[in-house]
Amino acid sequence: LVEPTRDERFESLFRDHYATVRAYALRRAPRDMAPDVVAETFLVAWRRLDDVPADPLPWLYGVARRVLANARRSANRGLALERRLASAAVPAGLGDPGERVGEAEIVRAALARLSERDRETLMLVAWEGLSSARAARAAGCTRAAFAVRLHRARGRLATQLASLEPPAGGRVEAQSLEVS
Amino acid sequence: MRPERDQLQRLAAADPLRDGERLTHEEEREADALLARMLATPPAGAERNAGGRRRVRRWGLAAAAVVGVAAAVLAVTSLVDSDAPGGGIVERAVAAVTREDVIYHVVERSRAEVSYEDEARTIYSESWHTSEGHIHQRTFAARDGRKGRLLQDFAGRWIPGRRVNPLLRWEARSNTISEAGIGPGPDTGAPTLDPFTDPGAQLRRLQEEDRLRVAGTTRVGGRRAYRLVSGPVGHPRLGAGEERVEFLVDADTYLPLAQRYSSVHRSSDPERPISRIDIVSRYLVYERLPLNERNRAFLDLDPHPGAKCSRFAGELRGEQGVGFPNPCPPPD
Repeated sequence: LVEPTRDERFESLFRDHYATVRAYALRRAPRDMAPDVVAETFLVAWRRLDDVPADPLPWLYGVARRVLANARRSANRGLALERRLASAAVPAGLGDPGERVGEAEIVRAALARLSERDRETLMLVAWEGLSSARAARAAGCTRAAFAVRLHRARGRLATQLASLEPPAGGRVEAQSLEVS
Repeated sequence: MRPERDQLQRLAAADPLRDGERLTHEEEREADALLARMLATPPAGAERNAGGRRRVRRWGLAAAAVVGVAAAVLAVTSLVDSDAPGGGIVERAVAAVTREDVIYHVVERSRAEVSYEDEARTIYSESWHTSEGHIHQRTFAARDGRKGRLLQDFAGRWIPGRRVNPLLRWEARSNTISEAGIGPGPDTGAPTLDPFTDPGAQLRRLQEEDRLRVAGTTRVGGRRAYRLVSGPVGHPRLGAGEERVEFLVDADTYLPLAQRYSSVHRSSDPERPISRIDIVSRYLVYERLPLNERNRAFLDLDPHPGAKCSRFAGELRGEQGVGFPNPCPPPD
């Protein structure tokens, strides 16, 4: 058997995971910023190809998470995700105070109110679909630590959801979901 | 009473990107272009091994500086790597966009700020052009930070010796194809640049006018790039104003990665004594396609079913024509 070349190894990694890393970035960054996050993540992978583990996806998410964090710090975009989530949480019919707000909007608004660490913990499991073990690798902590983080984040999400839930048979005003 | 559901299940159902891993054909092309650019980048493994963790951290810091929209990229360029590279960079950059055996395919996102408009505008465009002057460009609105609906489509060609060149332009609003001109207009003897046309033609023009200098290196979207800077230069049309242009070209392929154009126009109009235009373009794709019959079709105006033709659109034929079969009938 012929060993794959470095280029072939990278191309395989890229083609297998480009779409998932792109989705990861799009869930967390403005659309105009996501392509640069993806490019930067794969460039790190290209330069550090020998360090990429056998299960590369959590590692790639970890790199993307750091690229995003650095980008937010350097470009004063710390509120980008909050704004994005808040904007997603407020439907187009903002002017109509009686407009019914959907389940997904409520959940995303509750998520937007959490800390960045809580959000990332929950999103890795719920949106990226990682097991706790793989999510722990992506988050850069032990399985035990991740389990604690996840437990606490779920609790805080439940608290936020409770504060946003409409009363039985009631309606939520769209304005109440704005996140500052 | 709302039934109790696990928070994670509710969160999973609220994923805004449940189909996010499916790529459109265009997104696949962008991915291919990114992969090609990556593979053209030296991996620099030896450098990393020699430098150890410190170099990796430095890389991380540099990476932080390059992530963001093109405006942010351009804003930080002066902070990163001010070593001025040697000569020949401009010539190589111009040569990279001047090959006669290819069609250049460019996808770009441009953000324009004009002082007399309330909001900055972002548009997307996709264009095909040749170094001999054929150009076809589609312009799209931006919607939710990505490419939206098609606004206009134009195609034509530059004819040697002419300053106004023929093209046909289709406009979505009226669904009409009309004749138009492309070019710098009457010769004022002064340098001007149309930031909305072929970036390769812009680079060639800047070099012909000896306006470009290399101003160090930076990084764009993970790529090392040379900064080619022109200006400030004055221009009669700008009154007492001036214009500046900066191209960032890939340090390996020399193809453009980004451009910034800015001009200041001072006038005697008391309501608008100073006008500023600032356009930042990020080239998401800049690739060469083989110049064959199949790809030549990209240079033609797209078919626009049901489109009307303006009175004189059909006149552009033959030697003075647009360089492809005119879809409009010749005038009576």
